[in-house]
Amino acid sequence: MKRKWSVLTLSIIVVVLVIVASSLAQESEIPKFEVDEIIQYKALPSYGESPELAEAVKRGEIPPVEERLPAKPAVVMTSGMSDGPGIYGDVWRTVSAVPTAGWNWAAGVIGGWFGIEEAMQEALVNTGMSWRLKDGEPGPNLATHWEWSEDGKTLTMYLVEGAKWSDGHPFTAEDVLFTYYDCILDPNVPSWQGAGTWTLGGKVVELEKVDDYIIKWHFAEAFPVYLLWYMDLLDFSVAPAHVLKPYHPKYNPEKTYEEFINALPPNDLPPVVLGAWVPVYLKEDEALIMKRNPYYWKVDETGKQLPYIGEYYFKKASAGVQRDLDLIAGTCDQTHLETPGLFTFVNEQARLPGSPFKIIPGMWTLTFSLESNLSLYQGVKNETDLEMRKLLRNFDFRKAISHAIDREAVARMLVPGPMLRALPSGFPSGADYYDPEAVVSYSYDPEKSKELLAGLEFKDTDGDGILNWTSGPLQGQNLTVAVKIHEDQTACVDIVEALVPMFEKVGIRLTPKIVKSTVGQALDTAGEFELNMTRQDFLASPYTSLTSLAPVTPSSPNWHRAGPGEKRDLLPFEERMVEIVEALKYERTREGRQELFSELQKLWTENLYTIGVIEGIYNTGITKRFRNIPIGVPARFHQWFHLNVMQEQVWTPEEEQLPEFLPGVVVRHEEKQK
Amino acid sequence: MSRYVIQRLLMSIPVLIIISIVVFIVIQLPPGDYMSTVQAQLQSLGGLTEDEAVKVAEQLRHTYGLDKPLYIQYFVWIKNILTKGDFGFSFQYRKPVADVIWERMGWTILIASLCHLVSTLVGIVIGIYSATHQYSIGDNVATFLAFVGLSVPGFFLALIAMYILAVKVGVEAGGLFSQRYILAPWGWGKFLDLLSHIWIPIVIVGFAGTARNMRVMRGNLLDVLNLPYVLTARSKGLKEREVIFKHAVPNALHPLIMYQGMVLPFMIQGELIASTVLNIPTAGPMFLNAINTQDMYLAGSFLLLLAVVLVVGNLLADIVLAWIDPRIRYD
Repeated sequence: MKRKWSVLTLSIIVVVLVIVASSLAQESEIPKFEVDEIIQYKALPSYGESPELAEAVKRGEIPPVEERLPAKPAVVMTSGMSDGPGIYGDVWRTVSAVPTAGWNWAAGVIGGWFGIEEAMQEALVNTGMSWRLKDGEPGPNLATHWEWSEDGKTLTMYLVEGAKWSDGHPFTAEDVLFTYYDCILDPNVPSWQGAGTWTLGGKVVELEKVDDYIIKWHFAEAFPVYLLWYMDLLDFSVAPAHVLKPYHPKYNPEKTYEEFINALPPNDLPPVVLGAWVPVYLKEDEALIMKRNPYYWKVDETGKQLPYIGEYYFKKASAGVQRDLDLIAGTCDQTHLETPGLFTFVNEQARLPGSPFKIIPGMWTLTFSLESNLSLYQGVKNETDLEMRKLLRNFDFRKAISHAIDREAVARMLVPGPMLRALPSGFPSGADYYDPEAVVSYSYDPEKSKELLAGLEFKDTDGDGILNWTSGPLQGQNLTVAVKIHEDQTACVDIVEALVPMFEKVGIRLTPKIVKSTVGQALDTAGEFELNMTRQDFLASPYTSLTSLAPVTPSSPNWHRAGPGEKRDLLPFEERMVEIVEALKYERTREGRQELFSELQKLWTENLYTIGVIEGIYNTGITKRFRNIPIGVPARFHQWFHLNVMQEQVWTPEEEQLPEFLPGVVVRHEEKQK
Repeated sequence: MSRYVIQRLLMSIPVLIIISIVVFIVIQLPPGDYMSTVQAQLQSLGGLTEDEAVKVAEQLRHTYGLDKPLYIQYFVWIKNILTKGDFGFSFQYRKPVADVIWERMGWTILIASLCHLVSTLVGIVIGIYSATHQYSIGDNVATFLAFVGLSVPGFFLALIAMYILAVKVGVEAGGLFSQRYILAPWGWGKFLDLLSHIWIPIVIVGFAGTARNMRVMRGNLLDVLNLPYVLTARSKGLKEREVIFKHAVPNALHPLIMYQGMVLPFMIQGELIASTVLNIPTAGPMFLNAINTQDMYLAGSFLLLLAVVLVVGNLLADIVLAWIDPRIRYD
């Protein structure tokens, strides 16, 4: 009888626990949407605008809102908002730690990062939305929709009709063609993409203008779906053809490419943009201020023209850490936490009563791994180099290294707390297409590591605790491996410090080689390193970094570059990886891609293509004033926070709004021309 | 006297030429150039393959003349400085180097001069007090603080100040103005706001200078106070105040005057570090950035300017010394 009761009690407890756990899990789950639950392109019965724009209309400075908007504007749907339609006002304050070099982004000129490019540029598709979409694909933006031809060799894109640049000039297919042919493909223009990305089967992709609002892409191979991911922000931020053509040598033979690149200097304000905010004020090293774009082509479901927040304020600083400090002091509204050393401190501050900001937990995408140089030809200068590379190519040696690393201890040493943890497989668990079933891990087991090293015929012949080579050109010498670290990656320096005694324990001497990042880049290019301790952020969004995943170009992956004459001896599993990456480019379904990625992850982790050490959660700190911040918005996924959050939909209740720095200022381009 | 001045002037010309060559070589020493930074950016942030990025960088080197031999680059640079006052092009800011530097020189010189003024005045006053109250509690405290001031690096003090202000006091750390005053027109409010910010770099940078001046002043004054003429003055029945301020102090100031020639670059260096940590829009953060991204003409021109300031400062100090001390000009 007693036993019966205890069984019953136990089962009740189990059921209750399961229910509680599942409800918790549901709460923390990120809501997913169909595209049309987030954005639609349609006419609304009436439109509204912010008070200062209404005043400007009354003064006759700008046309009425109906004339400024497209006939069918992009409608940001209430169903996709977490707090619903908002009200106008407030200022978004943040920090930019890179000088603003100018506004010709199509020629690779930097606006100042830290959200500046996201505030003013627009691209054909929106990959910042993908993390919220059920299918995880790029969402619409300037291209409202697109369709593939039956043979998959033509992609027809429909552009938003009647959208205008911030100077009132219509946006058309002409702008897209100029961006593609005269910036991206022109080898004299240092744009963010090059012809390489756009070459399929030896032929450069052709872009045809059907009319002002329809374009057709022509491909040599069928269904190169991955190219959609290269039509997003930065890769394909559309440039204003009507502004830039007069500076381009192709259209104006009197101009040089140098003049074209520097055509829109930082003090030439305001630049002509398609984004939600327009830069209007810049004082170098002090501040950049943007005001809402009167011609912005997105509205909410009630017809209010976006953005809600009228002003964007970027304090110019000399180091990114200023953003974290200002957030704590309450003078900055948002930051990404990417320096593990600051995690605990900022978290503590967020928990204090009256703290102006909160932490949004992100995804497990901060990845710290060891890359072992597998190239037999690049950077190999002598016999000892060659011997070392042969060792690094030996699977048992990589396994011995992996077994030597106590990953939990490394994570605890860096930051005590739940924001870092062991990464036994080399693939971060927050990555897109991550498959926990596919990854293989070789976790901490120093005894096994020693066995493997003994199997490779290493012996401690001189009794100094470090193993010695017993044959070959290095015979008699200690087993010493150099690890390169870029000095600005402070977390990597700390990790290697923790690794040194762990390697020593199994008999390997690890010598850290800390270099300036420019020098490090040069060493990477030359292939002159043995191990590389680095942050592999590209793994978070593997579909957008396909070429980094396998030896498909002479310079990728970084740890297995081709030598002179493109000479490279692929390891057996790498041959299959090349095939997988090639297949992924043309795989149209998510299920199909998942299958390929699972296989790739299995090959990668089973063969220790990289040796994972720890992974971190990429958190965001954000002011408590803001509304419509999507649940679980990642600091970095396919895009940065600014695009992931859809910043034009963010608003602040009236009583919490801050005064603007430039109240009442309306963006006007005529003044500039005078 | 005029012969001495002309001699010194002529001697500074070869010094400046050598300095400009050394500067040019130093900024070219690290492997790569600004175009390597561009190349790295195109690869890591854009989607260019390495081969494409290398081609773009080569193209840019050609456009900006960086593919020419080093000595030609040097002569072009110097020729443009001497004939046109053109210090070259800043790749990062996309405008002439001279514009970038001059825009920041105002605050840089203001902060550096204020630091200098404060550290000299405070240092001398405390030094006099210490020397005349040797081994008293006040002297020991001042000496202790002076050693702390000389040994604690400025960036560390700046970091502590930032931490206390941002976390403990809860005000905006760094900068010269509060957010709401950055764009405001000049007025009492803005001026007071500036005062509430500018004391931080002045105290931090001035601390080391004050400590140094205090130690030098104390040592010299102690030496002078032991000289026979001071004994004579005292035995004549002069008031102690008169003995010290009229007879001893002026003679103890010599080394401090000599040091004036070096002090401005020293203060600019201190200001450079403090401004970088405290995020003040002066030449400091700009110079650091220029070095990191290898914006070579910007970094080189700033270094050259510092060297010129040092040479001119030394020249002026020599002239002043020769003027107050006849022994030097009769050399």
